[in-house]
Amino acid sequence: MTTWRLLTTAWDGEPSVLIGCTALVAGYVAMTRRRPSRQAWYYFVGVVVLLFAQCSPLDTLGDTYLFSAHMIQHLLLLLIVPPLLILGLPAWLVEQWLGSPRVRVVERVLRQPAVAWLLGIGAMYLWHIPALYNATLAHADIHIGEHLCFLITGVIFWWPVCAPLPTSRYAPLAAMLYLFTAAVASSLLGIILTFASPSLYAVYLHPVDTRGFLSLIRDGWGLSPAMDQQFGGLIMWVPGGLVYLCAIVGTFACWQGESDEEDESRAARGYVGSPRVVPSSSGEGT
Amino acid sequence: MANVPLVPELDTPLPKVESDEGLLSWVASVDHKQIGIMYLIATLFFFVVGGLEALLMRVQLARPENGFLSPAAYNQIFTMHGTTMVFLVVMPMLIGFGNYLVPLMIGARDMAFPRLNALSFWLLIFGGLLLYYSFIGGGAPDAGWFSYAPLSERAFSFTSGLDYWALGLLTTGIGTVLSGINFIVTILTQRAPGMGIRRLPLFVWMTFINAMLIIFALPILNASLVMLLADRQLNAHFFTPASGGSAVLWQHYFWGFGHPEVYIMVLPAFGIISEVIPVFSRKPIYGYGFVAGSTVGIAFLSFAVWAHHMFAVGLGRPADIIFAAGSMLIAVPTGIKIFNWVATMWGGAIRFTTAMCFAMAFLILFTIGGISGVSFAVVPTDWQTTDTYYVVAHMHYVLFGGTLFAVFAGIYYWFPKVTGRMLSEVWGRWHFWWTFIGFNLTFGVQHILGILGMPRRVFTYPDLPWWGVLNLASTIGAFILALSVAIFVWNLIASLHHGATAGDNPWQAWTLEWATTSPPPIHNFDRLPPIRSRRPLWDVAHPENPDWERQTSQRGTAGTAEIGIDKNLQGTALFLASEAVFFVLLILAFVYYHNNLFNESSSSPSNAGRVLDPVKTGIYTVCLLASSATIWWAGRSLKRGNPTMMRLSLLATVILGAVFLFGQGREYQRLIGENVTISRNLFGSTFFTLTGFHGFHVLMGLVAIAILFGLALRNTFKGPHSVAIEAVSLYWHFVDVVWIVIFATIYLWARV
Repeated sequence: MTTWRLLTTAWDGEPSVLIGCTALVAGYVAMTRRRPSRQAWYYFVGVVVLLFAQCSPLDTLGDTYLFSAHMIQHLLLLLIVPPLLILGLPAWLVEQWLGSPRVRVVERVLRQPAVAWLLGIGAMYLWHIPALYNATLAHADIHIGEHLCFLITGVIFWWPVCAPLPTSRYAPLAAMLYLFTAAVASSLLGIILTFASPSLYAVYLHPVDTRGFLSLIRDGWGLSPAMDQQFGGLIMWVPGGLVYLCAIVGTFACWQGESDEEDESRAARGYVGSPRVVPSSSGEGT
Repeated sequence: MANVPLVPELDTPLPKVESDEGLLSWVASVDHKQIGIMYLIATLFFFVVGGLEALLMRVQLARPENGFLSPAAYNQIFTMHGTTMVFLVVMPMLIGFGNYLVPLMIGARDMAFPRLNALSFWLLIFGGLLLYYSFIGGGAPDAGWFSYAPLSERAFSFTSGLDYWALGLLTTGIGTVLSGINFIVTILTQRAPGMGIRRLPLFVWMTFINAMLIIFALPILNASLVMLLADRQLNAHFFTPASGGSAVLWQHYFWGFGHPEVYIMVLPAFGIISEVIPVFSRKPIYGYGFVAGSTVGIAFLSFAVWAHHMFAVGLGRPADIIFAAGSMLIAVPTGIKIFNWVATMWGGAIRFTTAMCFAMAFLILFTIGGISGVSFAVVPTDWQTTDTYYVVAHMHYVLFGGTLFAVFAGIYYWFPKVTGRMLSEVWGRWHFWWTFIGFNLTFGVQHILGILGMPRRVFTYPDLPWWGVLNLASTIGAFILALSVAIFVWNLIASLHHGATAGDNPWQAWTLEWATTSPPPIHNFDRLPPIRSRRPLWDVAHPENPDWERQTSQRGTAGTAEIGIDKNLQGTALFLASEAVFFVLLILAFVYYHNNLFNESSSSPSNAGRVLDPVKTGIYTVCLLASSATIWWAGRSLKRGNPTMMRLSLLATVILGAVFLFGQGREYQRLIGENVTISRNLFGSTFFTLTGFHGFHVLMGLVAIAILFGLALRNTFKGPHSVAIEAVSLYWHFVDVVWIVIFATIYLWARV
């Protein structure tokens, strides 16, 4: 077994994934057929990343051999796919959805900072509790449920940061603080995983070597279970944190690129950090 | 600037100030300018003290096998030098600059919380006094400025020096957090009309980001110090490996604070440079957005890479790889800044004033320090140079060559504004060149000494080839530096009395602080120019070619709306954010030592399951949670105009909170009766520290609510809103949420 063999043979498309991705693409095409746009690229890249996370060797390794591979998969589902899907939605489509008052109420509740933040971070913490985590590895149904949960809470978490309609988004400073605190919270989980003893997730201590990759991983790559778990925690901690950083910098860059009119129209809605009125008639005072 | 347009006068006239002269007016001052000046004078004093300590060390190291200082004295001196320079000089000096300049630069009357500002300053002074009292109180601290455990524990450092160290830093640390809160709220709420966040001068922006770093990083230090003090004073076991504690945990905690601290000590300096270079290059800053945005990047990254201080500890290869990569990333936003400053100078009409000389030297020296910093991110190089003079050279290039050069540039630049007189350029030149030469001689050769293998923090060294010569050169450099500081102090004193009169705007700068007189009146501004761009004074001076017409992203003057949240509530929320960090650290310590999550072969198994009674405590927990509801009800009753119900609700809150405290007291009594104490084992140490601090917060909240109740009896609250009640409610909900986490962790999870 070589790394090359592993990378070329360990692909498998589970039906649930293929059906789900097809539905995502079909739904999008059906709804936007009349008006194709460049934004669609974001959406399709998001679906491709989703496919990659679920069908590539990453999935095979993560399901049986490596905690760190599983972590990469989870981060893709939580931090990469949802923002790409959201960025791919055209504004008019979202406006249409929000035309229904019921949808509008749900959207308004879900984008409350406390709700979105707790759902996004809570899902991360919840599924890393050893009992639940081990259950997902033992039962395929729970595993699918977990990944769906990541996608949905991911979309809820990223919605107020990169939603297509500016009215759904937080003010830039608030969004940056939201992302920063989320990064701290997820780093904390990464830190705990990094320094926890390696018996946390028993499956990875003695993997069932169904595909014959074990000797390559242990001897060829030199990854012991302890190192594997450390890598997993560190990936959540540092590269995971970098995703939030990129979002923060992106938010800042968009803000700097805005014209004053946009900035001030936000101020008119009462957001922190925008300029207040300048008395346009100079000299008189009150 | 006499013909600038007026802004509306305040509705209520400012109170008449009788006198701003005399000692009492300084001691009792809540004016941000006076406090800022006091900060700068105090830190200058500590700078001289720390410098004298450095000279003592350099004399001792001037030749091999020297006997000028005993090993014990040398340990105390280098510890005090490091601690003084970090906590009493660099950090508060930059806070002092911010204090003086931020309100002026945003067109405000004062800081958002002037009294809190005075408290921060006096906490700094008292902290400094506590630290230095150690010299006559039984011996100065001697475990280095990061006081690694277990050396800092009672078993190895048995004088009271480290207690003074911890208490002193705790005192200044609390003051620094308060400063951070004050800066953030000031910048969010006190800006003049038109001064949007995107138009802030870069110094203000960087102070803002820096304050964010402060409120999230300083609590980490405060929590660690509390644990260290518990170890030393109450025989707890947090960091004592002999009784199951972890010395490495101290390192993680200290550098979890220590690495953000590195940037706390340099971001405002970046801000000073970003003000000085454009003015003396006669150009606007190149790439404002990039300079501002890269600051955000640096601040974020600083929290994620502390482990690179611990490569030599043996964290394992995965950690080494990831943290090496993460640490190198910091070079990117820092490099962006350097390039922006250079690009600002490019093609500019540069005036080589002393301030500009220091700023340009900063660029060179900080880049050298940055590059040697990157070499520490390479793990094998780090292993080779850890704890050698290479580290000493690196950090002095960053902190002295970086921050202090920027501070000197800032002093030469703003001295005319502060005093109304120019600093002498002639003496300034002498000061600059002797500093530049002395600095490079002192610390440049230390790179070589480090690579040759000379360890830091050792009181002497054997006569190996080159070691004696290079050390002598370094000592000579240190004395040249001392001479330059003497010139500087002379220049300050002489110019204060005989300097040329400055006028309002001697450098033709374009930010708001130059729109008022030098020195500014006590109320800062008689009138403000309209702020329509980042350079309001340019717009006034060049009405035919103003910034806001040329730069599309800065056009437009319309827009309304005040910020929605009351400044007191903002301050409370920020304070609670920093408290949250404090509690997270205490909770992490508990989690780290329990339930075999981290130590498979833990020698001190958790006895939470044996001694705790979750049902009984659960009942008291319900009381505490109910009190959250009652205080919410009090605010609601006020809104609905029902003062009786409000008083009853407040009273109920006090009673419920007292019941909770009573329950906690009973539990403590029972535990201590069963000989479970803070000094018994790790469970006792973590349990009592965590719940004890929570209980203390409950008690403080009760006092506050009792005061509210008393005020309510006297009909102070007319409604429909009371910021006092809302702020205390916020605090009280926070205390409850923390308790929920503690209860879940200790009583439910750790018992399993």
